[in-house]
Amino acid sequence: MKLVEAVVRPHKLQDVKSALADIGVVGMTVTDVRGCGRQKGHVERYRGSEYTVDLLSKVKIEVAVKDSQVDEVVECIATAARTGEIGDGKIFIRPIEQVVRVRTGDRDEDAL
Amino acid sequence: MTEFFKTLFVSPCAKALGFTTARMALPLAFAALFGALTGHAYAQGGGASASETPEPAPFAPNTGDTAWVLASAALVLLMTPALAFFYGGLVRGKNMLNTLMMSFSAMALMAILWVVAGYSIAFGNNGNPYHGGLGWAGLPPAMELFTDNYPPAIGADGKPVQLTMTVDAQGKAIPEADQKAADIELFATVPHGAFMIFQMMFFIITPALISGALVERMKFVPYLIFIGLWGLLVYCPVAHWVWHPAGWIFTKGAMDFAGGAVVHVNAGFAALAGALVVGQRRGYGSRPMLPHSLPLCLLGVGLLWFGWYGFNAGSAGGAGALGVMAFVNTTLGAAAAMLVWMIIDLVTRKEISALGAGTGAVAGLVGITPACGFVSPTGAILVGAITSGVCYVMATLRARGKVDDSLDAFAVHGVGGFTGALLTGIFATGALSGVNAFIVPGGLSTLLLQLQCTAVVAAYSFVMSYVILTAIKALGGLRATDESEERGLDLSMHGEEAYASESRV
Repeated sequence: MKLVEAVVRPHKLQDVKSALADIGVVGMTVTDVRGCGRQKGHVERYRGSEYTVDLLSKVKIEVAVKDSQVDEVVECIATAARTGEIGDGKIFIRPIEQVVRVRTGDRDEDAL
Repeated sequence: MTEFFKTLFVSPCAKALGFTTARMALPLAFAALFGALTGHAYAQGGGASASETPEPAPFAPNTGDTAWVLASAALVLLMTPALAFFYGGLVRGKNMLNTLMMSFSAMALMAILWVVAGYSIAFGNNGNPYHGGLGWAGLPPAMELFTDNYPPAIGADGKPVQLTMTVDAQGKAIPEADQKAADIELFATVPHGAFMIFQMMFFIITPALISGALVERMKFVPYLIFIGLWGLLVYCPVAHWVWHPAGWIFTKGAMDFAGGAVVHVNAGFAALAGALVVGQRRGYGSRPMLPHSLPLCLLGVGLLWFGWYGFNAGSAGGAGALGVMAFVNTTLGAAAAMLVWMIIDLVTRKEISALGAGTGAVAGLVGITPACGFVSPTGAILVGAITSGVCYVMATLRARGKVDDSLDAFAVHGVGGFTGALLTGIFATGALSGVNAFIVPGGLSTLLLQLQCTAVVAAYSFVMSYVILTAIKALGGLRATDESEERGLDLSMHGEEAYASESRV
């Protein structure tokens, strides 16, 4: 089992959600996050004062999947979230030790 | 329209006949009635003529009327920031400042344009039935503006405008032999400047109303160019048609008390043209576009309602019985409309929407605007209730359609204003206004007249707006780039955010 963590542009969330639904993945956790990578950020000006905003708003989408699904899900997210410009985000893939479904007590792949 | 009627002065002969036999355009009898009730409307011109003084007495403003007109002007100005927050709450947070600025910038730009040429095109004398003369471009001389009242309205022939009254204050036809001519003055008891600045506030808010159909996707500078051109080429001529005694709609006797056609139908149909030319927001219909702050919306509605008292009751031109009537009717129209919207919501959706209640109140205020000086309080409740129902249907249809009238500027102001204009023809009562569509001979003609005049305003506004926007599109483009639309217009147009957070810097 793997946890796919994708940090993407906020306005791409809807596209990613519907693309995932198309391949049958409906469970996910979404968080508003801020961060920076190679993207430089932008300058905001308030009555003469300039501020460089380098922590930009993103959303983090977490999806737990079977090992066999990882490539498909990653490809799906990457395609849906891509604009081609700097700042499209990143996807991290991590192993999951255990999964428990709270309601039934199901474990591991049964709980996904 | 009646805002001007109250202030007309009637010839000594007509005065002697006690107004009821004076020869004036239909609604003028209303003014005559209220003049008789309040006893001050004709004090300036009429009094001077009656005593046959060769030199008219120097103008002395009625301080009560002037106080109310100035306060009303301030109230109407407040409606523009109120509208900004009403609209602002309805857009996504990333476009909040841009939406606010679409209204706020009108306060700067339109005020200056009004002085430069707008006032003269709308209300200048020596024009023709279609636009005013340009003699007051840059305003009349200060001495005239502040120490005199609005002079007798002058038509294209260089003579004071005289209108024919065929129906008296009770709605009875006047025999032709008894019909007299009446010279007409606008806002006769207040200084000319008070009238000018009061009318300026309408010029400011009307283009701001259009922005409801343009938000979240339009470049800011082309927007400013559009509202400036629209104000001078659309608003000012229409105001002249409807409100200047030489204007062709005024002459026909169609009723628009506080701007149902000039402001709401005008802005609403421009909004429809805008939504068509500028096009849908990216993702419209496929992506949720939620209002980001309904509390701000409802605050805007409350302040709009408050400011509307200046808009409607101030259009009486003074602090007399007519103003009180407009004030009462404004309240009842808005209340009835809000209640009806809540009831329809409850019946059709099993829950009462807060945004719906606010929209209902605005629809009612729009509907009662042309009617508030002509209908009884019961009539006002009916006007509000019916307008609300019509706007409810329209807003529901709009949400299912392809035209992205984002904040329902057309559904509420265009359709609501049109409904109100027609209902004015139906509910205007003989006892109050000298017009009753169902009693006066040719009563149906009143309704048809309302329909005809309002339809012309709607068509003119739609076509002109379409042309102006298409021209700007061809010269420099209207749309923000896809990227700046996605990023939000606050950052891409203004370099600022409505809700900036320290932890990002």
